[in-house]
Amino acid sequence: MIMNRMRFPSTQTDGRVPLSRRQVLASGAAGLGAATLGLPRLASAQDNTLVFAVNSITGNFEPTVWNGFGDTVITMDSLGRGLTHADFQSPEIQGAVAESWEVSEDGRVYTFSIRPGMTFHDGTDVTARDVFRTFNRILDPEDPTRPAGTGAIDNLGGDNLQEIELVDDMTFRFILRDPDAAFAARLSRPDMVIISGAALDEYGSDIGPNLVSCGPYRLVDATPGERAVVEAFDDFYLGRPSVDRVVFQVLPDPLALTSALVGGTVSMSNFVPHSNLAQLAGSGRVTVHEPQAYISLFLTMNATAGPLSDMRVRQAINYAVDRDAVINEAFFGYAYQPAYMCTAAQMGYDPAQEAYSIRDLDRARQLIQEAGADGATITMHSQNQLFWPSLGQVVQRNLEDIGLTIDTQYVESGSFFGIMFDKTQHELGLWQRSAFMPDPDGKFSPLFFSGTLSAEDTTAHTGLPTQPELERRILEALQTQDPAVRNQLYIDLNRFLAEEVMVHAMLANIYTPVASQNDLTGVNADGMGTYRTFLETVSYL
Amino acid sequence: MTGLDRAASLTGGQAGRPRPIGLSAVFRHLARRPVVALSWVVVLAVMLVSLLAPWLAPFGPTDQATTDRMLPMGSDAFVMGTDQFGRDQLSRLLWGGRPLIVISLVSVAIAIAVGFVIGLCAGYLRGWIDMVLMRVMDVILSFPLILFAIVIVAALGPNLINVIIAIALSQIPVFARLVRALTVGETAKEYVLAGKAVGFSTPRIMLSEIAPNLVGPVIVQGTSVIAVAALYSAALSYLGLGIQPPEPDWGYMVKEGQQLLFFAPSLALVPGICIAVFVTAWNFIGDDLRDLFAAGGETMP
Repeated sequence: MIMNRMRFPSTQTDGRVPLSRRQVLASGAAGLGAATLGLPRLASAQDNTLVFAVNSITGNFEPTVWNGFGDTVITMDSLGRGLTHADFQSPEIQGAVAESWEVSEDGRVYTFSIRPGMTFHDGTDVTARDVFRTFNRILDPEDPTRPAGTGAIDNLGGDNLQEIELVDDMTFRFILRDPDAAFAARLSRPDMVIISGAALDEYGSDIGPNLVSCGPYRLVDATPGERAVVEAFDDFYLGRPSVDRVVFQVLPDPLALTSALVGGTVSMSNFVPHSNLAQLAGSGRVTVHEPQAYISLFLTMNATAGPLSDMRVRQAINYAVDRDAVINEAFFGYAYQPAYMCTAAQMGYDPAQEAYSIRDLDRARQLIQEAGADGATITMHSQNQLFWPSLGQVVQRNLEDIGLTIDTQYVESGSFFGIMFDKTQHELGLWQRSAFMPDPDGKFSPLFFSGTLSAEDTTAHTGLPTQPELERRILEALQTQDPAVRNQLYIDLNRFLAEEVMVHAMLANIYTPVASQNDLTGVNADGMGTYRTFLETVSYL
Repeated sequence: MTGLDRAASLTGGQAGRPRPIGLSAVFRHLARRPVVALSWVVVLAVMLVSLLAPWLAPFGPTDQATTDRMLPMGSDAFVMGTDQFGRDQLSRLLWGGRPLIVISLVSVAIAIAVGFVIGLCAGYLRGWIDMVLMRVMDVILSFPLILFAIVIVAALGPNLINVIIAIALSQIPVFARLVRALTVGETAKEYVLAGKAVGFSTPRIMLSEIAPNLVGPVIVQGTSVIAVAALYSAALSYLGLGIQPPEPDWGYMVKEGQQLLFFAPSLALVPGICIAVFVTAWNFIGDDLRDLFAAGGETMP
């Protein structure tokens, strides 16, 4: 029986190793830093507490609003669970709040069976009513619990979502306008966590600081700008996590973070600077993981801007980039050679397509000559933090090697996105595409498909007009359910983009550097490498 | 002597002007204050080396030798080692002081020039002009100076000119308030009253009579502010708001080297030490000039 319905209009070791003098100094620095920053005492197995360093915490855990990595990804992964779950260690999408689901033959209807016996952190049962309320607040502008500024509908497929149905207390249904093979994966994103209906009744649209979900950890305390503390949830559906307590500690300074890891005041992090990974690995105390890469790093080219409107110039730029230099100089070897848009961990990856990302200076110079662009001045924008300035310097050198004059502007992040989302303000830009879900569609629809709000912004950085053939290919791949066929479609899509469009020169496939104390096991490095964290699998040896 | 002649003899403001000091007196003074002497040597040496960087540097400061990355200090062709891009650290150090020196000197010169005019007008003309100008200065001073500079650079864009503008703007109130206070004091003195009595125009009294008496303290203040401006310049570069990479700049070199501190500490420490030494030297010089001014030059025979 349909109880409720909503339609929407179109829109290794134990660590006891002798320390070198340098390590002693570093530990001393850590101690000093800890004292200064008010870090908690050494994280250890003794009290079964883990300290996880993050770059920011606002204390607002509203799932559908982006509040930075600290709140949205790191903490949310501990507090929340969605209908589905992707652990990034396998391509399979698993059930979480949903025990199972069925997809209609036409691929438009997804029916989810809610996992029986599952409870929220407030002790109430997880039912399909909670699921309905969770998605209704994303989709219905009139919902009183809807948070201001949410754009989560885009991450559900935008206009493609036609209807949600509360079938019964334990069954929930999505009806799509067109098939979407990535839909189950979309529901695993951190902005899709299921929220307790009772908590929504109590807090309304102000649920953020008081989030009640059903993840492996429940929120105990949060101090904006300092830390958030979570404790193991006894009734987590996969069993109580091994670590009792996790302190998410704000530690934005990379040097202090490195010192704290060596000194043992921080247990693990995925915000470690690439430059310090070798040192951490050599410390004997810290394990440096090398996850699969889900993040694509590229040089985006505005196809309406000056010399870049000539495809030969864009191809020449692609041929000019020295990926080895990018990997070694900007990422100190902790990155991978790209093929095209998809990484080796994703569907649509074809190692043969590394040929699209090789350096061929002779070919590049020839193309520049043919296009009459020798000596042309092109502006390149980059963010001025993290690895971006290093990357910018390598790319600038590469492009100047083929006779271009590059004026690089390093600007802070807020200005950068404003510039890049306005095609009249930029020519080249250094950009990344992260993956909060393993499905390859995250690399295509949001960048190129004109049916989503985010694409209207993000396609602005390439200046591309609507590309019917490109959109047809994206839709075809998205609507195909058979994994093998879909894989080939994404390979073909990559080829089409590289050969016919070329508005992105791939630079490297990267991951966020993951480091953890040697006495920790069960670290999901692949998940952490794409900004996610799944700490329920971590335990002390 | 007529009354007019007597009044005219009082003008010219000679009373407050420092006596000319000979070079030998300067050397005798510095001989008694070796730290100040050393500070002058440091400042002049840094300026000279920066000026001669194109001839002294063994490599171009932005040349990248990708096969010679991260070489340690003492390497054959690279005495100070290389950074992650294979750039010669010595060459970058020699070139990297230029922005700091140019920014600190030019921004302070601009701040003195503008602040002097504002302070002189406010202190002599008083009334609503004084009130308006000083309230504007108060508004600027109400912002933390580094934050003020950051906002300006963020709005105008990071480059040498905008950094100079930002630092100059942030320092104008320092000189405007100083000059105003001094002008108010000078305005009541006999030579100014005499100038008015003989009918000197207001601009003549301000520029020819009062202004020369303010130059000394303003220069002393300026010397101290150079150190502050140098620190701001380094801080803005460290924050990525100053000289843009790959151009060498000590402040940005600290930022770039910081990420490699455990691996190659010299990449951050050496430019950091250069900044510290340069700023400290200016501070010693400024303190010495202030002492001299306070003593009316009596310590310098």
